[in-house]
Amino acid sequence: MSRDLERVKNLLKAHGKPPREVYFDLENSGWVPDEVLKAMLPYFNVKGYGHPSITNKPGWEALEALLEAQEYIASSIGANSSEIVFTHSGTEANNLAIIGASLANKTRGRKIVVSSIEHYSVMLPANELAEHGFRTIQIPVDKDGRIDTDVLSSLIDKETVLVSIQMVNHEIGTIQPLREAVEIIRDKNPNTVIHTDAIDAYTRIPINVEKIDVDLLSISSHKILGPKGAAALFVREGTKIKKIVYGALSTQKLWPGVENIPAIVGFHEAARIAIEGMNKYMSYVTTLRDSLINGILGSIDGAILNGPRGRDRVPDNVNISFLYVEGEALTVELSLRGIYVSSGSACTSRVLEPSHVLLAIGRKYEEAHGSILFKITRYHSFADIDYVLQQLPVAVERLRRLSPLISKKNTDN
Amino acid sequence: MEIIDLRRQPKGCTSHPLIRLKRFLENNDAEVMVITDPEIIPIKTIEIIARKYERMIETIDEINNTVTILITRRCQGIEQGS
Repeated sequence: MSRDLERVKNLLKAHGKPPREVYFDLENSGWVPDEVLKAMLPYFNVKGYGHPSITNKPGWEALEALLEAQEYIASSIGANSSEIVFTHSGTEANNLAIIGASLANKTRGRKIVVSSIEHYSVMLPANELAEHGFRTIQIPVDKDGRIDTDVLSSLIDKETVLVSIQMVNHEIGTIQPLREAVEIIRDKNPNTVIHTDAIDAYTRIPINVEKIDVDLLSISSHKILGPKGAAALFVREGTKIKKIVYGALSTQKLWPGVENIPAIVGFHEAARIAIEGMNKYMSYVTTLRDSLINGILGSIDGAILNGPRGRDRVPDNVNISFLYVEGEALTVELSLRGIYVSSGSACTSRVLEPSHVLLAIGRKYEEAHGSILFKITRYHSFADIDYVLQQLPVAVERLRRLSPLISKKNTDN
Repeated sequence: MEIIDLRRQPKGCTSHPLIRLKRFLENNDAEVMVITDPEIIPIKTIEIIARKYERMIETIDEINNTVTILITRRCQGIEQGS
């Protein structure tokens, strides 16, 4: 047995099963509801288990399921089905957008502009393009995470080949002034390709690619209570974009590899349920969100909300920094109590660096390290919120008693 | 004096020089020298960011594609849009 495997088995054994479990870590992944699983199951071993590019019955059944999913997802964002490319993850969709669009349009310019709080799957490919002669500039944001549109306007010129601004921030829930940003970009350089990462926006706020006028848009299944293994990139007809992965035999011209049909079916079903009930679900989720925020800020000293309040914040996001507490320690402490959350984003927590999003909005390093992220769904209840409000203050207090930061603060005072 | 070179292309996500500049202006009252290639980050961009923190800018040097700019200490009474 490898050391890593042994370590994780020991961790699970020591953890045990708490008396109650509530999962809030939908930012990083989540469970699949029964109705979505039910739609997927036949595609493992009853029908449609073939390759959708192959001319036999199981292949045609797979193709049928893929085309139905493509049509629905396209219509849900105001696109044509031919403008939807399936990938296997949001990271792949973002990489295809950033690298594929920049390389395809490099004769138009070598400047890429992104917000300073984009997901790593946008930032890192943009940075990597330096090896191909591109320069990436980050737009500063304000304390609520909103991009500075004056700075954006000053940066767009004839050299700007690509701009990527996410619709909703994945960590602090800020809804960006995307329409205003797109108008500025189109006015200054109509040839600039515009991408938006809508992975944390899809099924929470209405999306229509005609109204927002972007060229590329990413969405992902496992962020909307669908299965892992399916995501999509909207590519507006006429947008020049280069393949970045090569292989044979796929229905998706821009992304080869066998399509994950059960996951695509699950993506379709998860999207259908969420879109059809979006207004009522998001109204309910907003109430839970605000109860949680108000409850935490009202009961724990030294708790700071990250991101905006009210309508500028996506309905399902709660991100709070707790002073004198280390975020990773708090996620473990809460896990032992059956409350599953994450500290910032998964990518930042693995590399033990503070969240670049929290630093960009002006948080100090120690505040950025002490943050916790909750994502709320239509399956959560007020009883779940009450349970968190019961356990969280106790967990924070316990960690603060052990924290060297609070000893230092008391000494300094 | 702090010097921030906006021509640098960092590998990471937390160290972009424009974001370093913003953090410096947020947390310090002191002057700061900025070096830029105006074809990448225009002087106008630096001026916009500086004014949001009640600072003025002054071009110190301009050679080929490199411009050196001084961002002054915080000024009182700068009017919006002036």
